[in-house]
Amino acid sequence: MKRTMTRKIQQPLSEPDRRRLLKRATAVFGAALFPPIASGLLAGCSARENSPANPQGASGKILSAPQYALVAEIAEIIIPQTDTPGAKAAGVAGFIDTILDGWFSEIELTEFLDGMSALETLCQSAYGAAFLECDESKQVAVLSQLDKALHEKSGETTVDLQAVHFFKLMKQFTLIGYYTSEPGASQELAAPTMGQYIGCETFDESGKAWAW
Amino acid sequence: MKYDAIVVGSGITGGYAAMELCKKGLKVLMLERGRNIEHGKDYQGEHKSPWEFTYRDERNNPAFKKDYPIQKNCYAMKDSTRQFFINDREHPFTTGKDKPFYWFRGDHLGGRSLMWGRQCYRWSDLDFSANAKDGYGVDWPIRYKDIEPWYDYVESFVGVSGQAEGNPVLPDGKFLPPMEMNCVEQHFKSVLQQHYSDRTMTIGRVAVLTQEHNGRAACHYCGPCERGCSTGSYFSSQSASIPAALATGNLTIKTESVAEKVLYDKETNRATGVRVIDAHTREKVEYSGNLIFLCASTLGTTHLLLNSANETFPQGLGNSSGVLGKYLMDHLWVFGARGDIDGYENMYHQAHRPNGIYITRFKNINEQEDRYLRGFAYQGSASRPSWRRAIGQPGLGAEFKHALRQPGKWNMRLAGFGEMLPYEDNAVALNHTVKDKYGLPTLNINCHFHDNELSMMEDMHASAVEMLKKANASNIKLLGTPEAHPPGIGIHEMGTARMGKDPKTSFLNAHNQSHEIPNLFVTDGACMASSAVQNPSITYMALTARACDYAVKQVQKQLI
Repeated sequence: MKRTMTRKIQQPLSEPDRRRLLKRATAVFGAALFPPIASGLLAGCSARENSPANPQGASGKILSAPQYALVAEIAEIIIPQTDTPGAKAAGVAGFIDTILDGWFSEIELTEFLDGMSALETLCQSAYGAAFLECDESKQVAVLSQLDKALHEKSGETTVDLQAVHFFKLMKQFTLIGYYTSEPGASQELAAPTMGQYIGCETFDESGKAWAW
Repeated sequence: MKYDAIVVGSGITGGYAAMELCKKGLKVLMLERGRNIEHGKDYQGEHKSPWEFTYRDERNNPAFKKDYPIQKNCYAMKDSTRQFFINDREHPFTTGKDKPFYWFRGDHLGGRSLMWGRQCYRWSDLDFSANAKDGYGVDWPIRYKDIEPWYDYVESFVGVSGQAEGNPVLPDGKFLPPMEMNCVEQHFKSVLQQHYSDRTMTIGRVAVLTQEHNGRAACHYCGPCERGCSTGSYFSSQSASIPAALATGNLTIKTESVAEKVLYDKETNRATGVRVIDAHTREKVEYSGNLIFLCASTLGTTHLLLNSANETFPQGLGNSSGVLGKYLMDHLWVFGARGDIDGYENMYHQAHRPNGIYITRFKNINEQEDRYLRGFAYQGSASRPSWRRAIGQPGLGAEFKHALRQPGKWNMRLAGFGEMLPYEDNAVALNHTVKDKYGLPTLNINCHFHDNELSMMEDMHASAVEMLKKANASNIKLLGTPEAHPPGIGIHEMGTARMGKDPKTSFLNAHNQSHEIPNLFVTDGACMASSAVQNPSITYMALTARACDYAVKQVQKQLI
């Protein structure tokens, strides 16, 4: 099924057409195109659309509402709300959707979405539930497993590589999206000052890194 | 009307030439192929925060692959600066097989003076005598004493901050107060002082104002100068030379005027003017001028001269010698190393210093000691990484986030600038089969590193590692590979219309004047007979001011 889609989108469509088609395919035929989503994500997530995790049931240009909720949740686990806003408050899911829409090539986008499905398969086989249906400790355990596999020096891992790749991209763009957002850059970190350059200033543990 | 002088180009040398000639009372026409950029108003990226950009001003925007496959390799190319870089698809050029060349261009008023690196280093006689000493290239027709007063002159106008060091390899200049080194740079400097007597580490000498200068405000240390600076705190054509030229009432600027040919009259043996193509209407217009100054950038100027071939000069205007287009150089850039430095964990900086440190050339100074000719210098800085370091690190969650709140370990980075020898086979020629959108032949560039450069790169790596080890740096990593850093990456392309003593082997004389056509001058990087290791712009400006002075005196004496 996946192959069918890839072939389809390789036909000479204009960029906006291609994006529209892909989005429609994801939204309408998502279940058919991504079998694991059918069993896990979509089934599990539709119930979540109006949950506090995703109050408006927001969707993006690429991400359907359930996918958007999943991305938002994973980003929040990577960078949670603490004494400063986390990834959700910083709008990271929206940023990732923007990246998927305009930044990723169609191959990269396919890899991302396939990896998302692979993550759901992983959740299903480990816990018999979709990611968003799992409790927080299980969600963290799944993502920690992927993070460990990502940094496995030997390169040998038993974890599904598509899921690892998905997590790699999620982590990279969560970090970028969060720390270049206004809350991430100016509340969690510090937006640089202008005026006088000071090359050597004592810095204590309460201090913050410059965001750029 | 006939202008007293036509200056082709508005970048760092075009702006300077126009200003000098206007100040001497000449009526000057400045021709710029690109659009107007108004100082301040058109600096679209200035002071914007990352969240104001769709892709947060991250580098490597994939849209760049399509429109900017060459330009995207420039460190300064981002969404915040892309308006200052040409669209590669609209400005084609070709290269020889397996000879990539990065040609970074900005076609707009001010040219690359808007996004240049601003580093200003004088040459010394070690550099001016290099060709004569080892026989590569032709001897420079000038020495340090000829250009020294002109360095003084331009530095006084430009405003260069720096520290006098008394090292003859890198002559001191007329400096505004230096910027300060951070604590790890100070530490590294003291380590070098303990271990080496042959090199000086100094704060970068930079055309960024540390105090108010000629009506321009001191730097406010926001950081990314290449987005444009509405306070005029770094030198650009817009901030300094063009306003000074306009103030004389003698300057006319025509933008979107693509120079097609320098016109030539056989009877009088003079360049009589310039024919331009209107970038919008494609209409051709001819302008007459008494003096013609070509300041269209190294390859832009040479392209124009090659395309100005006529019956008298079938190989290119003023090119009976056949050297035009040959002996293209750049600097070997970035070959060096970086390493983590322990300690100083309670130290950080405030605001952004648009400058780094400089380590003077120390190879082959008095004697030829190494397996390669000439040498290299380093630029660099010490810094602490912010959140970006987390992309490759394990971890997630509250602890992970908390650990990123503070900056990471200090590191010291040494990025080399190496001298590239002038070779006849590193050359450009017109490509008549690929035309640009104005129907003009494009440029084919054939340029590659030879054995001397490849050998030097190894030592640029090794010498940086050696210094970092003296400072007990850990996690040392090399910077630069010949594959990823081909010629052009240094953005110091120079040569192709070189100065020299002999009209048979050089294009220009000691005053940047065509050997063959007395009212034709080239004062941009095309004039260079060797590359040295210094960032070249301040030398281009000094040569330009010197050539303008000479040309006007010759006109007054009715010699040209």
